[in-house]
Amino acid sequence: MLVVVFICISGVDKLNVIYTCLYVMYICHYDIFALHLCHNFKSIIMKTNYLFPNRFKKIGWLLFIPGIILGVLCLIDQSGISFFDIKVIAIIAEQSIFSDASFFSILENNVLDEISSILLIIGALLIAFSKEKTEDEFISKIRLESLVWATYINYAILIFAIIFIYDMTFLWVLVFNMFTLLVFFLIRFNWALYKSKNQISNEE
Amino acid sequence: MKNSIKVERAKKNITQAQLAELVNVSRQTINAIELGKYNLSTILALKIAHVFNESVHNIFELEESDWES
Repeated sequence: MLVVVFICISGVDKLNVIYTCLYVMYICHYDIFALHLCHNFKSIIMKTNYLFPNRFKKIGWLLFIPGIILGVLCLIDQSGISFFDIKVIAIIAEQSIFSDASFFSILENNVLDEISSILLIIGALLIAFSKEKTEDEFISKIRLESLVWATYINYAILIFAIIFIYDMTFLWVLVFNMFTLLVFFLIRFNWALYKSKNQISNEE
Repeated sequence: MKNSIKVERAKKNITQAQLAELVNVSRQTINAIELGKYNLSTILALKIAHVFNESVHNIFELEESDWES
């Protein structure tokens, strides 16, 4: 598409035709590069079981801890720090709770909660799904068990909240529920790892 | 499944950590296998047998309870 548009604009000028050819060649090369990348990416994924390398765990903590601090700041100071009031692009937004939704509008919003939740989610994902120093089959088993356990606990608590908690408090339950699955997984997984490590020191 | 890893280790005089390093797994894994808490993969069983220069059958043995579903 872009190439066609380019030719239309450039007309029949010789120099421009050369530029267009170069541009087409550039795109073709880019496609070949992208294909190679896709191919390599496939083999990388198949080897790693969808886990990040071990070094990403540190990066995860570096994102997660500021995320917690900013999150607590959000909870304490509901009105928000004015420094974080910026214009954002909203795909769907309501002016007030009961008004109709408007699509693709630009509005002003305090982005502290957005920043903290993104930091929390990416940080927790990196901590949870980075490989251990020696990621082997036994640790994979613990990982799977912990993930199943965390999912059950998370939804058990959510079902309890659906039945017994209403109105604005329920909204807060949903807010916390965005992160609890990962947090429960982290607690259970590290506890199981710690327990199996402890067993060694008892044995020897 | 019964296993004689502990005995074989004693014969060869190597620790759990050394065996773990030889077959590229964590210490916890070897420990869990020795305690019968984890059923290891075929590949790891073959590797461990290779380290001890034995047949897999001499190290790992099926029990009656393994046939119950």
